[in-house]
Amino acid sequence: VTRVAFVGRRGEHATSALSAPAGGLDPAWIEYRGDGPALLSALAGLRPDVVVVFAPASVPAGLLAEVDALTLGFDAEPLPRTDEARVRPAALWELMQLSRADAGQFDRLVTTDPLAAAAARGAGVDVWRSLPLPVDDPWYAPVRRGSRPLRAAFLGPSTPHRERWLIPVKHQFDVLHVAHGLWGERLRDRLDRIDVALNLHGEPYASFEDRLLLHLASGHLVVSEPLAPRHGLEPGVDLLEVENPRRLVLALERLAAHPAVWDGVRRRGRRKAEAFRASRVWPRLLADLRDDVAAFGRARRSR
Amino acid sequence: MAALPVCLLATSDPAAAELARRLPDATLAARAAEVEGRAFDVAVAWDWRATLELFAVEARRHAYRVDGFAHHRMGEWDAERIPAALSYDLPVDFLATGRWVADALAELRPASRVLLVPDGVDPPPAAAVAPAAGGPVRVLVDDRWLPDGAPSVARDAVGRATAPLAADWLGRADDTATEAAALAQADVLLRLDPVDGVLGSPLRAMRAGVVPVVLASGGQAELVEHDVTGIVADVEDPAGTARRLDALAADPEALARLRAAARERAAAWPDREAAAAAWTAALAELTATEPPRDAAWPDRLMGDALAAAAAWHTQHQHLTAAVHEALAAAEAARRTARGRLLTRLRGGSGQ
Repeated sequence: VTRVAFVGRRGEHATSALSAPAGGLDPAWIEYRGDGPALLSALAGLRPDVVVVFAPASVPAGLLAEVDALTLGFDAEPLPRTDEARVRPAALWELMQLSRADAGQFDRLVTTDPLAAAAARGAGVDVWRSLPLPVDDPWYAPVRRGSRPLRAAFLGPSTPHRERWLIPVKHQFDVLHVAHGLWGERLRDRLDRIDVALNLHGEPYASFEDRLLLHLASGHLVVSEPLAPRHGLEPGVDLLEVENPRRLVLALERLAAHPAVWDGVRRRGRRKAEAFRASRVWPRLLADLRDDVAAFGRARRSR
Repeated sequence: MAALPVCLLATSDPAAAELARRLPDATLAARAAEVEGRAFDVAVAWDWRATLELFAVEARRHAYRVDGFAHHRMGEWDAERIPAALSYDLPVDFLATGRWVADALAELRPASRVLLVPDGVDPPPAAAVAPAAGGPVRVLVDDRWLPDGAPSVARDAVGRATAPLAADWLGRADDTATEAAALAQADVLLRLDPVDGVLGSPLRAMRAGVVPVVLASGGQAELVEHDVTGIVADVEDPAGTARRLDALAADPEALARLRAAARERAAAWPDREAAAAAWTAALAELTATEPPRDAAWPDRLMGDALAAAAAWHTQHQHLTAAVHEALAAAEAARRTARGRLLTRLRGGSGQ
């Protein structure tokens, strides 16, 4: 059995960790809010074989250097991408933070965006793998049938770009917008009450939001801005993509009139989410981590 | 088991002809007109196109063999995606070639009968070819599923690997004989298909003792166990896949272990005789009882038609908007050029 400590903020990352033993992993959660000594103390108590850190840039450089365990950083923040003509300042800042944090304390780094991984390598941050954040098993639910009236929601902070999309929708439909962080039972309660989830980018740049897979796993029909990367999700098959706010309104109009429309997409999306189930992904990823370190050593950790 | 007259409606798939030869009383037809005037116990559409004429064949039961969902491979702009999607709503019995297909169909059409009839595979070669000691890992890339012009993650991965690899590629025109010859010279088959296909060339590869590298898509769960009988890679992650290839190159023992386990797993898969027997049993089951009453109603058909038409309509609007944008840009450029010319003719600099 491999003991794994997942380190992060519960409100942001707990749905992506593994909460129960699976595939030879014995998981534990460590809440981390910037208190380095407390993190080291918790790790000393757990004595894990592997430490997985969500948001690795939030960990001070060198903090984990002496931890006697394999360390994996899993970064889901927006980083500069190879397909962008102009680098976003916020993404560049994230990359700088990651670059500093990765100073010798992570055996391997994972990012959620393969296009960002290539750019990060160019900046000297060695990205080992790229995959989306998994979804913990308890969040998987049966497919939810379309309802009348429409039960749609958007979960995420408000931004000017998102409001440009949401305002026309809110004028016409009673769409729930949860702008502040929800987690645990309150999040589950919210997810249980909807059957259509809107996925909107924070800025006018294509990306892949962490919450999207959580919605698919929850059995929701996802209506999204175009995604990049898609991580294998197919528009019109696993989810609906809409190119502008007007088309989002049209899609919701159709759903309001015919709740069962796109039932096939709901079901296929829920099935596709199985590939991202935490009990499937984490054992595979961490076994690969162990093998990769055995094959290529830990020397790569220091840049 | 008594022979059941069965009609297989198929166009050009050699697997259909192979099966027809092994079933005791089967007729292979490309068109319903070829069997006009004859009556069958079961008529089977081999793929979604064949459903077009399925009900023109006189038979007690009408069935549809499904090895994947054709519309999942078609772009949203492809109008054929609509009839392909609707074919799974027809009032038929389903014959699924994989567990994953059977499960998906059972969920979509809970009232319909869904029976499992695996595609058989040929016997394995006498012995898997061992890689030359110290030689490069031989990687065979199967991108035949990839739409024309689409970027290949598999090629990218091979290019990024730092270990010396001997790479070969299967072309779209390559048949199963060419594939078998290529597999005999390979250690690893790379098929990074996000939709399905694991029960195709990866299965045949495993039969030949070749390690499949696939994605967690249709069929993987029933055939490829990660790091045991193959490698499960991540979608759109060429660097990560390259790293897996590097790891295999660095560890000949692991490669040999995977090859042996892959071969053993595939050996348990039904061969063509066993597959024909499964077909015979399934056909007998279909004819032994009446189809469930509720399966006679295509209750999903109109909803799926509406959904497919909406998706296509959206794409049509998108394309129209793009064309208008391009025309407007061309017109603006033309006016600018004309303005400059006029300015120059009037004696201005035009700069």
